[in-house]
Amino acid sequence: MKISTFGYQIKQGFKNIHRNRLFSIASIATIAACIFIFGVFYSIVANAQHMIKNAENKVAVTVFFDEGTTDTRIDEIGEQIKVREEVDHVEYTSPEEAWENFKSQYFGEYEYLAEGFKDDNPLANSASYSVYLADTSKQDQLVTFIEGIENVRQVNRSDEVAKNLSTAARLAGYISIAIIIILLAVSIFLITNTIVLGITVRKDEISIMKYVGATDGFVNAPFFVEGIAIGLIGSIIPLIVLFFLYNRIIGFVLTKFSVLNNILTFLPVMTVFRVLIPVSLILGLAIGILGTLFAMRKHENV
Amino acid sequence: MIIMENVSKTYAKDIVGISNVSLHVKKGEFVFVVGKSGSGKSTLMKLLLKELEPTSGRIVVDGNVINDATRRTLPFIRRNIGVVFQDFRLLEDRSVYENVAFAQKVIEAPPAQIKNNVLKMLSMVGLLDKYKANPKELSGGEQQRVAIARALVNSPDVLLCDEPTGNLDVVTSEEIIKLLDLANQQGTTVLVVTHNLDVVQQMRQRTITMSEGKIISDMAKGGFSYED
Ligand SMILES: Nc1ncnc2c1ncn2[C@@H]1O[C@H](COP(=O)(O)OP(=O)(O)OP(=O)(O)O)[C@@H](O)[C@H]1O
Ligand SMILES: [Mg+2]
Repeated sequence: MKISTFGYQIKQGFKNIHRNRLFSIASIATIAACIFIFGVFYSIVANAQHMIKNAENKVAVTVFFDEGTTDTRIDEIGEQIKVREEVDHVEYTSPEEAWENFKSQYFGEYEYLAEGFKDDNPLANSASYSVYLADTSKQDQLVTFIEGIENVRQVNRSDEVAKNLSTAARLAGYISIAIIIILLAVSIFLITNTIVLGITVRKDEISIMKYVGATDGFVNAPFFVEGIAIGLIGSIIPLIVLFFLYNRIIGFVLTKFSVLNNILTFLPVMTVFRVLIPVSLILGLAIGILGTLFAMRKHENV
Repeated sequence: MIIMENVSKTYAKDIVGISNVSLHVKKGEFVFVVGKSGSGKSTLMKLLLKELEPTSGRIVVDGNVINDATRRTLPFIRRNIGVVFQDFRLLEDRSVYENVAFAQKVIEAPPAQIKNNVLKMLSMVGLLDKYKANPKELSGGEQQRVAIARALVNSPDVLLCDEPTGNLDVVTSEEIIKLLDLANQQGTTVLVVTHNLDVVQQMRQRTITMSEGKIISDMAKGGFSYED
């Protein structure tokens, strides 16, 4: 295609959009809604995953020992674990500390209820190491290693937080996928009808074009321009809105829930948008092209 | 150059458009097609443009076998065939100049050439001074001149006109036919469907008469076997 033709087609495409303003705006709005929701859920899921990773970093693998294991042996095991390269650091919890923790956790202000156990620590064999990982992805490897050490009774992965967060993230993912699919269908339907309307309005012009010898490509090009432009505008608008909302919302959450500040570690806006921008643009582009193709199919013989 | 060999076109439910028509038109000829309403004149024109598929027979226009044309090749064949209709079919959202230039843009003519060609055509049809006007502001005759300029601006070898004077008064009709004659003198093969028998007699060109889908006479110098 020649450059002059290219310019002409782009102009015709935007003329179409202008001519069917109402339909075009409706299409753009639907696509924008679709991509906005996608962006919101993507941000949530990406951040949730980020927090899961962080939580995993904060929680440790807990190591318990066989009954009657001597303190010297426990020290030895500690040394063995410490030298592993996936280990960041190791903390020792004595049976007394374990009991204190347990008491405050389970009896709370009724701690006197635990008085009966005073001289007979029920957790006498509950000395443990909390092993913090330098690299959580190597957790499995480390757990297998520790389990292989003699006198090690049990290795607990304390990934409860991570598990809950994963479930929430997955749920958010499913809901967003469902909403996005519905909105995608509506977007494509609307864009198809916008373009069909454009074709109908330009029927006389198209018929003359064909008499004069316009190729199908030449006749159809403005409609692709129209579809693609609507799709791209519909994806750029929510991207801009999301970009400005993102930091505001994070700021809001962090001040409202300052208690959770050490769990709520958010991704920087650019990290999220590095994925969000290309995916949204491609989504908008795909909706535009698909809508145009459906419109062409409906109007094959204009 | 137009060749039709035993061409028939039957519409749905056995309605005959044309039946077993054979016709040869040499390059540079001027031919009138006359005949009663419903005798198949428009059907014949549409077959030449491949707006309709023949039921049988072979059609060649300007060396291109129309039967074999595909969606891909048809546009290029049509660039060699100009068309003029009774109802002008100008685009009212643009000027006279734009209407003619449109035909050039559509075939992706070089922009530098477009202005030249359009102005040349407008001057040929005598509308150079109205190039800025909207078609709505023009008389019927003027509108048809614009349509002729548009049909000729891509320099087709063949010009097909289906009742180009059907909506025009006698004097204007004569002017339009003279314009078509001028195009013919410049080398274009011209085929004109018309009910205007005075003009046919005056022009003394080859004339084909159709009746019930068949060619019933084909005479030189404005002869026809048809009464209004
Ligand atoms: N699209 C169509 N579907 C069915 N029958 C058609 C169609 N077009 C034309 N016909 C029929 O084919 C025959 C030839 O029609 P055509 O339009 O070629 O006649 P014509 O000579 O151009 O008439 P007129 O002088 O009124 O324009 C007529 O009987 C007409 O009713
Ligand atoms: Mg007719």
